[in-house]
Amino acid sequence: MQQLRALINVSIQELIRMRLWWVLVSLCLLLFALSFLFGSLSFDEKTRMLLHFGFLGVHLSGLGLAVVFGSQLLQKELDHQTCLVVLSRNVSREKFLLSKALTFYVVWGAGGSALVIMLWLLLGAQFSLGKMLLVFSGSYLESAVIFSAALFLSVNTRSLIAGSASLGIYLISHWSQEVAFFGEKVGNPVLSAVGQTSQYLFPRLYEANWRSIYFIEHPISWGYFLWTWTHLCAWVVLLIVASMVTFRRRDLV
Amino acid sequence: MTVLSVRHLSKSFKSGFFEPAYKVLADISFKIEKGRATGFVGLNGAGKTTTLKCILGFIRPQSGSIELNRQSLGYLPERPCYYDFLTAKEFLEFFWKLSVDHSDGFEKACDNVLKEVGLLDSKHVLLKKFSKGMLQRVGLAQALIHHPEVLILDEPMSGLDPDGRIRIKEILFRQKALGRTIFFSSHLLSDMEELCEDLVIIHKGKIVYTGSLESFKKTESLESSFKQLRQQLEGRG
Ligand SMILES: Nc1ncnc2c1ncn2[C@@H]1O[C@H](COP(=O)(O)OP(=O)(O)OP(=O)(O)O)[C@@H](O)[C@H]1O
Ligand SMILES: [Mg+2]
Repeated sequence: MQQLRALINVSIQELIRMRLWWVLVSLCLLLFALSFLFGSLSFDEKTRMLLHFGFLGVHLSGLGLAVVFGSQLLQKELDHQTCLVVLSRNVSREKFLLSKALTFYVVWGAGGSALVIMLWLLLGAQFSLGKMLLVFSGSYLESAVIFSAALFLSVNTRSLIAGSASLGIYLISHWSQEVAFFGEKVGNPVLSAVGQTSQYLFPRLYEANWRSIYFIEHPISWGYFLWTWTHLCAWVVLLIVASMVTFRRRDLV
Repeated sequence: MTVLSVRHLSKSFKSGFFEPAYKVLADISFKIEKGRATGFVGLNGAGKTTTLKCILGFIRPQSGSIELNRQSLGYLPERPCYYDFLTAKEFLEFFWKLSVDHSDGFEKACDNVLKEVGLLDSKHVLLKKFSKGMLQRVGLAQALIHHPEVLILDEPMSGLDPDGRIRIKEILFRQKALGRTIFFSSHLLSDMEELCEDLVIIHKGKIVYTGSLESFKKTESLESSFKQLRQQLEGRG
């Protein structure tokens, strides 16, 4: 436990010192400010705009962090061989990898929540904070899945490939439902088959897309919420375990 | 008592997908005895670093077995690459926490070890600002801070000024006096001659000598004995 804490501690320090983290957070804040400005042009649209762009900013930041950190956190240690001294200390590779994953989950959990609280304050606290955090939890889960996918890929390939492939997974996971729907609509069996198969092969990220005023005003049912959480958490666990298994077999040369 | 035993270790590398595998270690066996300093000698590319990485579990050998108690181990890698966003003190504290269950005693251990490697003045300096030699020293400090029983060092003297080299030699002498087991690779045969009791010599991935240094060099200096051995091996092809 102490080892894990020390590992996460150092990893967090590294993250905080990376420029990207601050760039994305500032971009997100910029988006808040812009939607505030646009919103003030038409008064009744203000809330909708701020909510929409606010959550979009938070979501995109989370996605960017997941792709970049997922493909780099571990890969950088392998490239620079900084992991060797750490692993010589009776630290198992699984624990090392887990510390990297937990670092992201903790940092983005805290950072993302802070941004959502800021958004809530900007909106004049007119919605319940709990509901807003519930909406954020969907976006958080998506980035957790994408991070885990990027981490898994980074164990096996170079980080540029891992980053772009995980972005690809994100897109496919969002489009699979639409592709299936579209295929059925135009009566194209191939298209609908592709869409349906990819729903089974990829995580169903679209199920966690709750980022609109609709879901604040009509909260999702607990059953649906739980199903989505279980589904995406299972994907996270699967990807982390797969990363551990492949990382264990890898030569650290 | 044997601290480390390596039996029939083999390792091949593939440089590309279609390239044939290339044998780097071929059936290596040797033993390291407790409380003794053992030098690991070989030409560039002989397979020293690969052997050490196999011993530490970084590289999975194709065959063979390694027996080593990893609980109390200090390791210095060949390339000094560390978390450069930490200060020397934070860096050492991190490794202390990885190996020692409690935090008391760290301050003293940290000052002691930094004094030993000659970096006490740079305690609060970021590793980013360290020179190569300073990194090499802080790397050694990292390997020593938790007072490990076994030290595995990959070229501890490389990249150091003459003063630094002498200092490292003194540190290794002190570790030996404390009864620690040291296994290190180096190209500096004169240093090895002063420090080591035992020798493991590797040539093109095969062990060509293992045993005491005295019986290897007989009457001559280590350097000329090594030269002779090399000529013999090359004569044999
Ligand atoms: N990842 C790798 N892929 C392919 N070949 C490798 C790899 N790592 C090392 N080798 C080869 O293995 C051989 C042994 O390398 P190693 O680094 O163990 O030598 P060394 O004895 O430590 O040399 P030096 O004294 O230069 O440090 C070399 O011929 C090298 O080319
Ligand atoms: Mg080497």
